[in-house]
Amino acid sequence: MPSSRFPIPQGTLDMLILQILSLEPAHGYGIAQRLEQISKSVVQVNQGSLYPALHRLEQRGWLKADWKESETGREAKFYSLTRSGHKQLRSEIDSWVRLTGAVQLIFDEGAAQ
Amino acid sequence: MKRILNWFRLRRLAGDLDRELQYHIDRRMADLIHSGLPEPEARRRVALELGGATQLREEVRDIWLNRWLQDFVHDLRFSARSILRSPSFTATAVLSLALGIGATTALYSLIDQIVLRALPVDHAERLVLFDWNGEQLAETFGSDNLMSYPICRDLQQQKQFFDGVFCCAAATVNFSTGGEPRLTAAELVSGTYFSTLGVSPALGRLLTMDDDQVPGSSPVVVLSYDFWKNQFGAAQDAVGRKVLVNQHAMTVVGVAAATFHGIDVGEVPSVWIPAAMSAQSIPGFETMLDRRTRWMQILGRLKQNVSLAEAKT
Repeated sequence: MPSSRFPIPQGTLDMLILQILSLEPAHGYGIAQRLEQISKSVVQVNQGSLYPALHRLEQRGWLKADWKESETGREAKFYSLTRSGHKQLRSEIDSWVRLTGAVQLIFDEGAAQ
Repeated sequence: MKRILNWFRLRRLAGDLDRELQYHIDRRMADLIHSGLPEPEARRRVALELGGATQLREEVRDIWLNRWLQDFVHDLRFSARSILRSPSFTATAVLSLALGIGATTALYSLIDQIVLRALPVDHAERLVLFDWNGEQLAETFGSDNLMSYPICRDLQQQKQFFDGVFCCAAATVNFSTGGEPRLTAAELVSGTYFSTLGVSPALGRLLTMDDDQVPGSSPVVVLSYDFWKNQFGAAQDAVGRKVLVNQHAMTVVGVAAATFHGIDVGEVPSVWIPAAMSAQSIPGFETMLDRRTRWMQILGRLKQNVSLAEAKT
Protein backbone atom coordinates (compact mmCIF):
# COMPACT_ATOMS: atom_id res chain seq x y z
CA MET A 1 0.00 0.00 0.00
CA PRO A 2 2.72 2.57 0.81
CA SER A 3 4.20 2.06 -2.64
CA SER A 4 1.08 3.36 -4.37
CA ARG A 5 0.99 6.57 -2.31
CA PHE A 6 3.59 9.28 -2.13
CA PRO A 7 4.31 11.40 0.95
CA ILE A 8 2.77 14.80 1.02
CA PRO A 9 5.09 17.55 -0.26
CA GLN A 10 6.66 19.77 2.36
CA GLY A 11 4.55 22.81 3.10
CA THR A 12 1.40 21.64 1.41
CA LEU A 13 0.00 19.97 4.54
CA ASP A 14 -0.63 23.38 6.10
CA MET A 15 -2.47 24.53 3.03
CA LEU A 16 -4.62 21.37 2.92
CA ILE A 17 -5.54 21.74 6.60
CA LEU A 18 -6.55 25.37 6.05
CA GLN A 19 -8.58 24.32 3.03
CA ILE A 20 -10.42 21.59 4.95
CA LEU A 21 -11.15 23.87 7.87
CA SER A 22 -12.37 26.67 5.58
CA LEU A 23 -15.44 24.51 4.89
CA GLU A 24 -16.30 23.78 8.53
CA PRO A 25 -14.64 23.41 11.96
CA ALA A 26 -13.27 19.93 12.66
CA HIS A 27 -11.24 18.00 15.21
CA GLY A 28 -7.89 16.36 14.48
CA TYR A 29 -9.32 12.96 13.67
CA GLY A 30 -11.94 14.50 11.43
CA ILE A 31 -9.26 16.37 9.53
CA ALA A 32 -7.25 13.16 9.14
CA GLN A 33 -10.28 11.35 7.70
CA ARG A 34 -11.09 14.26 5.40
CA LEU A 35 -7.51 14.31 4.14
CA GLU A 36 -7.76 10.62 3.35
CA GLN A 37 -11.02 11.08 1.45
CA ILE A 38 -10.04 14.21 -0.45
CA SER A 39 -6.69 12.86 -1.52
CA LYS A 40 -8.46 9.62 -2.56
CA SER A 41 -5.72 7.61 -0.89
CA VAL A 42 -3.16 9.05 -3.25
CA VAL A 43 -1.37 11.28 -0.79
CA GLN A 44 -0.03 9.71 2.37
CA VAL A 45 -0.39 11.91 5.42
CA ASN A 46 1.60 10.79 8.40
CA GLN A 47 -0.79 11.44 11.24
CA GLY A 48 2.18 12.08 13.48
CA SER A 49 2.84 15.26 11.52
CA LEU A 50 -0.81 16.36 11.52
CA TYR A 51 -0.92 17.46 15.16
CA PRO A 52 2.30 19.50 15.17
CA ALA A 53 0.99 21.18 12.03
CA LEU A 54 -2.32 22.01 13.74
CA HIS A 55 -0.54 23.50 16.72
CA ARG A 56 1.82 25.46 14.49
CA LEU A 57 -1.12 26.96 12.63
CA GLU A 58 -2.89 27.72 15.89
CA GLN A 59 0.21 29.38 17.25
CA ARG A 60 0.44 31.58 14.18
CA GLY A 61 -3.10 32.71 14.76
CA TRP A 62 -4.55 31.14 11.63
CA LEU A 63 -6.55 28.60 13.61
CA LYS A 64 -8.38 28.79 16.87
CA ALA A 65 -9.28 25.78 18.96
CA ASP A 66 -12.21 25.02 21.28
CA TRP A 67 -13.18 21.95 23.20
CA LYS A 68 -16.64 20.98 22.04
CA GLU A 69 -18.83 17.91 22.09
CA SER A 70 -18.15 15.78 19.04
CA GLU A 71 -20.51 13.57 17.04
CA THR A 72 -19.81 10.65 19.39
CA GLY A 73 -20.84 12.73 22.41
CA ARG A 74 -17.31 12.94 23.72
CA GLU A 75 -15.44 16.23 23.99
CA ALA A 76 -12.93 16.86 21.24
CA LYS A 77 -10.72 19.75 20.32
CA PHE A 78 -12.30 21.49 17.34
CA TYR A 79 -10.22 23.71 15.12
CA SER A 80 -11.66 26.51 13.04
CA LEU A 81 -10.22 29.11 10.69
CA THR A 82 -9.66 32.65 11.94
CA ARG A 83 -9.95 35.73 9.75
CA SER A 84 -6.19 35.80 9.17
CA GLY A 85 -6.38 32.04 8.49
CA HIS A 86 -8.78 32.72 5.61
CA LYS A 87 -6.42 35.36 4.29
CA GLN A 88 -3.47 32.99 4.58
CA LEU A 89 -5.36 30.29 2.70
CA ARG A 90 -6.15 32.66 -0.18
CA SER A 91 -2.54 33.74 -0.53
CA GLU A 92 -1.32 30.13 -0.34
CA ILE A 93 -3.75 29.00 -3.02
CA ASP A 94 -2.65 31.94 -5.12
CA SER A 95 1.03 31.12 -4.89
CA TRP A 96 0.30 27.44 -5.40
CA VAL A 97 -1.54 28.17 -8.62
CA ARG A 98 1.29 30.36 -9.83
CA LEU A 99 3.91 27.75 -8.93
CA THR A 100 2.12 24.84 -10.60
CA GLY A 101 1.36 27.05 -13.57
CA ALA A 102 5.02 27.89 -13.94
CA VAL A 103 6.07 24.28 -13.57
CA GLN A 104 3.44 23.26 -16.13
CA LEU A 105 4.78 25.89 -18.50
CA ILE A 106 8.26 24.44 -18.24
CA PHE A 107 6.96 20.92 -18.90
CA ASP A 108 4.93 22.14 -21.87
CA GLU A 109 8.00 23.79 -23.32
CA GLY A 110 9.93 20.53 -22.96
CA ALA A 111 7.13 18.62 -24.71
CA ALA A 112 7.03 21.10 -27.59
CA GLN A 113 10.67 20.62 -28.50
CA MET B 1 6.18 36.18 36.22
CA LYS B 2 5.96 35.34 32.58
CA ARG B 3 8.08 32.28 33.18
CA ILE B 4 5.78 30.99 35.89
CA LEU B 5 2.83 31.65 33.65
CA ASN B 6 4.48 29.75 30.83
CA TRP B 7 5.25 26.87 33.11
CA PHE B 8 1.55 26.59 33.94
CA ARG B 9 0.64 27.01 30.31
CA LEU B 10 3.09 24.28 29.40
CA ARG B 11 1.48 21.89 31.85
CA ARG B 12 -1.97 22.72 30.58
CA LEU B 13 -0.75 22.31 27.04
CA ALA B 14 0.65 18.84 27.76
CA GLY B 15 -2.63 17.73 29.31
CA ASP B 16 -4.53 19.24 26.42
CA LEU B 17 -2.45 17.48 23.82
CA ASP B 18 -2.75 14.13 25.62
CA ARG B 19 -6.51 14.47 25.60
CA GLU B 20 -6.51 15.43 21.95
CA LEU B 21 -4.35 12.50 20.96
CA GLN B 22 -6.31 10.07 23.09
CA TYR B 23 -9.47 11.11 21.28
CA HIS B 24 -7.78 10.46 17.96
CA ILE B 25 -6.45 7.07 19.07
CA ASP B 26 -9.81 5.92 20.42
CA ARG B 27 -11.71 6.99 17.32
CA ARG B 28 -9.18 5.39 14.99
CA MET B 29 -9.19 2.16 16.98
CA ALA B 30 -12.98 2.02 16.91
CA ASP B 31 -13.06 2.63 13.15
CA LEU B 32 -10.39 0.02 12.42
CA ILE B 33 -12.07 -2.60 14.62
CA HIS B 34 -15.38 -1.75 12.97
CA SER B 35 -13.84 -2.46 9.57
CA GLY B 36 -12.94 -5.97 10.77
CA LEU B 37 -9.41 -5.61 12.07
CA PRO B 38 -8.59 -7.58 15.25
CA GLU B 39 -7.87 -5.34 18.26
CA PRO B 40 -4.11 -6.04 18.64
CA GLU B 41 -3.59 -5.38 14.96
CA ALA B 42 -5.63 -2.16 15.17
CA ARG B 43 -3.61 -0.99 18.15
CA ARG B 44 -0.36 -1.65 16.27
CA ARG B 45 -1.62 0.23 13.24
CA VAL B 46 -2.67 3.29 15.24
CA ALA B 47 0.68 3.45 17.00
CA LEU B 48 2.46 3.21 13.67
CA GLU B 49 0.35 5.95 12.10
CA LEU B 50 0.92 8.40 14.92
CA GLY B 51 4.62 7.73 15.24
CA GLY B 52 6.36 8.10 18.58
CA ALA B 53 4.04 9.74 21.10
CA THR B 54 6.98 11.28 22.99
CA GLN B 55 8.45 12.77 19.88
CA LEU B 56 5.07 14.18 18.94
CA ARG B 57 4.66 15.79 22.34
CA GLU B 58 8.11 17.34 22.20
CA GLU B 59 7.51 18.68 18.75
CA VAL B 60 4.28 20.39 19.80
CA ARG B 61 5.84 21.73 22.97
CA ASP B 62 8.73 23.24 21.02
CA ILE B 63 6.28 25.02 18.75
CA TRP B 64 4.72 26.80 21.72
CA LEU B 65 7.96 27.42 23.60
CA ASN B 66 9.35 29.05 20.52
CA ARG B 67 6.30 31.26 20.32
CA TRP B 68 6.52 32.35 23.94
CA LEU B 69 10.19 33.06 23.58
CA GLN B 70 9.46 35.27 20.60
CA ASP B 71 6.75 37.06 22.55
CA PHE B 72 9.16 37.65 25.39
CA VAL B 73 11.84 39.06 23.12
CA HIS B 74 9.24 41.20 21.45
CA ASP B 75 8.06 42.56 24.84
CA LEU B 76 11.63 43.26 25.80
CA ARG B 77 12.31 45.18 22.62
CA PHE B 78 9.08 47.08 22.98
CA SER B 79 9.94 48.14 26.54
CA ALA B 80 13.43 49.18 25.55
CA ARG B 81 12.05 51.28 22.73
CA SER B 82 9.42 52.88 24.98
CA ILE B 83 12.04 53.74 27.55
CA LEU B 84 14.29 55.33 24.96
CA ARG B 85 11.43 57.18 23.32
CA SER B 86 10.39 59.05 26.48
CA PRO B 87 13.43 59.49 28.70
CA SER B 88 11.80 62.16 30.85
CA PHE B 89 8.86 59.92 31.64
CA THR B 90 11.25 57.07 32.40
CA ALA B 91 13.31 59.30 34.67
CA THR B 92 10.18 60.40 36.50
CA ALA B 93 9.00 56.82 36.92
CA VAL B 94 12.38 55.61 38.12
CA LEU B 95 12.70 58.53 40.52
CA SER B 96 9.22 57.94 41.91
CA LEU B 97 9.99 54.30 42.45
CA ALA B 98 13.33 55.10 44.05
CA LEU B 99 11.78 57.63 46.41
CA GLY B 100 8.92 55.33 47.25
CA ILE B 101 11.18 52.41 47.99
CA GLY B 102 13.55 54.66 49.93
CA ALA B 103 10.78 56.12 52.07
CA THR B 104 9.32 52.71 52.76
CA THR B 105 12.70 51.31 53.71
CA ALA B 106 13.39 54.25 56.01
CA LEU B 107 10.04 53.82 57.72
CA TYR B 108 10.56 50.11 58.15
CA SER B 109 14.00 50.71 59.66
CA LEU B 110 12.49 53.16 62.12
CA ILE B 111 9.64 50.85 63.08
CA ASP B 112 12.15 48.05 63.42
CA GLN B 113 14.15 50.09 65.95
CA ILE B 114 11.22 51.49 67.88
CA VAL B 115 8.81 48.60 67.97
CA LEU B 116 10.69 45.44 67.27
CA ARG B 117 13.88 46.11 69.13
CA ALA B 118 12.34 48.33 71.82
CA LEU B 119 14.77 48.81 74.66
CA PRO B 120 17.02 45.82 75.03
CA VAL B 121 17.01 46.07 78.79
CA ASP B 122 15.22 44.46 81.72
CA HIS B 123 11.65 45.65 82.26
CA ALA B 124 11.90 48.65 80.01
CA GLU B 125 8.33 49.62 80.96
CA ARG B 126 9.46 50.59 84.45
CA LEU B 127 12.01 53.11 83.22
CA VAL B 128 10.99 56.75 83.58
CA LEU B 129 12.58 59.99 82.47
CA PHE B 130 12.86 62.80 85.01
CA ASP B 131 11.48 66.17 84.02
CA TRP B 132 11.33 69.55 85.67
CA ASN B 133 8.18 70.77 87.26
CA GLY B 134 7.91 74.54 87.31
CA GLU B 135 9.66 77.51 85.87
CA GLN B 136 12.89 77.33 83.98
CA LEU B 137 15.52 78.69 86.31
CA ALA B 138 18.83 78.21 84.67
CA GLU B 139 20.47 77.98 81.33
CA THR B 140 19.87 74.68 79.56
CA PHE B 141 21.25 72.87 76.55
CA GLY B 142 18.07 73.26 74.61
CA SER B 143 15.91 70.53 76.07
CA ASP B 144 13.53 70.91 78.99
CA ASN B 145 14.28 67.68 80.76
CA LEU B 146 17.99 68.18 81.27
CA MET B 147 19.39 68.12 84.80
CA SER B 148 22.72 68.72 86.39
CA TYR B 149 25.01 65.97 87.52
CA PRO B 150 24.75 66.75 91.27
CA ILE B 151 20.97 66.35 91.07
CA CYS B 152 21.54 62.96 89.53
CA ARG B 153 23.78 62.02 92.43
CA ASP B 154 21.16 63.19 94.91
CA LEU B 155 18.47 61.16 93.19
CA GLN B 156 20.70 58.11 93.20
CA GLN B 157 20.68 58.24 96.99
CA GLN B 158 16.96 58.01 97.50
CA LYS B 159 15.46 54.56 97.72
CA GLN B 160 11.78 55.31 98.21
CA PHE B 161 10.48 55.15 94.67
CA PHE B 162 13.32 53.84 92.57
CA ASP B 163 15.38 50.73 92.35
CA GLY B 164 17.93 52.75 90.53
CA VAL B 165 18.57 56.14 88.98
CA PHE B 166 21.12 56.97 86.35
CA CYS B 167 21.99 59.84 84.11
CA CYS B 168 23.63 60.16 80.75
CA ALA B 169 24.60 62.69 78.13
CA ALA B 170 25.64 62.20 74.53
CA ALA B 171 28.99 63.54 73.40
CA THR B 172 31.27 63.21 70.42
CA VAL B 173 34.87 62.47 71.27
CA ASN B 174 38.13 62.15 69.40
CA PHE B 175 38.81 58.49 69.82
CA SER B 176 42.06 56.81 68.92
CA THR B 177 43.24 53.24 69.33
CA GLY B 178 46.79 54.24 68.51
CA GLY B 179 46.34 55.33 64.94
CA GLU B 180 44.48 58.25 63.45
CA PRO B 181 41.93 59.67 65.91
CA ARG B 182 38.33 59.59 64.78
CA LEU B 183 35.19 61.39 65.83
CA THR B 184 33.23 58.79 67.73
CA ALA B 185 29.80 58.84 69.33
CA ALA B 186 30.16 58.51 73.08
CA GLU B 187 27.85 58.63 76.04
CA LEU B 188 28.84 60.03 79.42
CA VAL B 189 27.03 57.99 82.03
CA SER B 190 26.74 57.74 85.76
CA GLY B 191 28.08 54.64 87.47
CA THR B 192 24.56 53.36 87.89
CA TYR B 193 23.82 53.34 84.17
CA PHE B 194 24.49 49.71 83.29
CA SER B 195 23.33 48.19 86.57
CA THR B 196 20.01 50.07 86.48
CA LEU B 197 19.38 49.15 82.85
CA GLY B 198 20.32 45.56 83.58
CA VAL B 199 22.81 45.29 80.76
CA SER B 200 25.42 42.58 80.98
CA PRO B 201 28.94 42.63 79.54
CA ALA B 202 29.97 40.60 76.50
CA LEU B 203 33.57 40.89 77.59
CA GLY B 204 35.33 42.26 80.68
CA ARG B 205 33.16 44.40 82.96
CA LEU B 206 30.85 47.38 82.63
CA LEU B 207 31.01 50.72 84.44
CA THR B 208 30.17 50.77 88.15
CA MET B 209 29.81 53.36 90.89
CA ASP B 210 33.54 53.01 91.55
CA ASP B 211 34.24 54.46 88.11
CA ASP B 212 32.13 57.49 88.85
CA GLN B 213 33.42 59.01 92.09
CA VAL B 214 36.18 61.59 92.01
CA PRO B 215 36.24 63.67 88.83
CA GLY B 216 39.10 62.73 86.55
CA SER B 217 40.19 59.72 88.59
CA SER B 218 38.75 56.85 86.56
CA PRO B 219 40.04 56.82 82.98
CA VAL B 220 38.09 53.81 81.74
CA VAL B 221 35.76 53.17 78.80
CA VAL B 222 33.30 50.47 77.78
CA LEU B 223 32.90 49.68 74.11
CA SER B 224 29.69 48.89 72.26
CA TYR B 225 29.61 45.43 70.77
CA ASP B 226 29.52 46.67 67.18
CA PHE B 227 32.34 49.11 67.78
CA TRP B 228 34.43 46.35 69.34
CA LYS B 229 33.73 44.13 66.35
CA ASN B 230 34.46 46.77 63.72
CA GLN B 231 37.30 48.73 65.28
CA PHE B 232 38.96 46.07 67.39
CA GLY B 233 38.30 43.12 65.10
CA ALA B 234 36.44 41.48 68.00
CA ALA B 235 39.81 40.92 69.65
CA GLN B 236 39.52 38.89 72.83
CA ASP B 237 42.36 40.87 74.39
CA ALA B 238 40.68 44.24 73.77
CA VAL B 239 40.11 44.56 77.50
CA GLY B 240 43.08 46.31 79.05
CA ARG B 241 44.11 48.10 75.89
CA LYS B 242 44.96 51.77 76.11
CA VAL B 243 42.98 54.20 74.01
CA LEU B 244 43.04 57.98 73.64
CA VAL B 245 39.92 60.04 74.29
CA ASN B 246 40.60 63.63 73.27
CA GLN B 247 44.30 62.91 73.92
CA HIS B 248 43.59 61.56 77.42
CA ALA B 249 44.75 58.00 77.93
CA MET B 250 42.01 55.65 79.04
CA THR B 251 41.70 51.89 79.44
CA VAL B 252 39.13 49.62 77.87
CA VAL B 253 37.54 47.64 80.68
CA GLY B 254 34.78 45.83 78.83
CA VAL B 255 32.36 45.38 75.96
CA ALA B 256 28.59 45.72 76.35
CA ALA B 257 26.18 42.97 75.30
CA ALA B 258 25.57 42.67 71.55
CA THR B 259 21.88 43.52 71.88
CA PHE B 260 22.46 46.81 73.71
CA HIS B 261 22.62 49.87 71.48
CA GLY B 262 22.08 52.63 74.02
CA ILE B 263 18.76 54.04 75.13
CA ASP B 264 18.13 56.59 72.40
CA VAL B 265 16.50 55.45 69.20
CA GLY B 266 18.72 56.23 66.28
CA GLU B 267 21.60 57.41 68.43
CA VAL B 268 23.96 54.56 68.99
CA PRO B 269 27.00 55.30 71.15
CA SER B 270 30.21 53.48 70.34
CA VAL B 271 31.80 54.04 73.76
CA TRP B 272 30.56 54.73 77.25
CA ILE B 273 32.63 56.92 79.55
CA PRO B 274 32.02 57.58 83.26
CA ALA B 275 30.43 60.97 83.93
CA ALA B 276 33.29 61.63 86.30
CA MET B 277 35.51 61.88 83.22
CA SER B 278 33.38 64.55 81.55
CA ALA B 279 36.09 67.20 81.81
CA GLN B 280 38.37 64.96 79.73
CA SER B 281 35.61 63.94 77.31
CA ILE B 282 34.13 67.36 76.62
CA PRO B 283 36.93 69.87 76.02
CA GLY B 284 36.54 73.01 78.13
CA PHE B 285 33.80 71.52 80.28
CA GLU B 286 34.73 72.18 83.89
CA THR B 287 31.37 72.64 85.55
CA MET B 288 30.31 69.08 86.06
CA LEU B 289 29.66 69.56 89.75
CA ASP B 290 27.81 72.83 89.25
CA ARG B 291 24.16 72.35 90.19
CA ARG B 292 23.01 74.88 87.66
CA THR B 293 24.68 73.38 84.65
CA ARG B 294 22.01 71.16 83.25
CA TRP B 295 23.33 68.81 80.60
CA MET B 296 22.24 65.29 81.46
CA GLN B 297 19.10 63.26 81.14
CA ILE B 298 18.15 61.43 84.31
CA LEU B 299 16.24 58.19 84.16
CA GLY B 300 15.05 55.95 86.93
CA ARG B 301 13.70 52.48 87.38
CA LEU B 302 10.50 52.49 89.38
CA LYS B 303 10.20 50.02 92.21
CA GLN B 304 7.83 47.14 91.53
CA ASN B 305 5.05 48.47 93.75
CA VAL B 306 5.37 52.14 92.90
CA SER B 307 3.20 53.61 90.20
CA LEU B 308 4.22 56.49 87.99
CA ALA B 309 1.57 58.70 89.62
CA GLU B 310 2.95 58.07 93.08
CA ALA B 311 6.48 58.85 92.03
CA LYS B 312 5.33 62.09 90.45
CA THR B 313 4.14 63.59 93.71
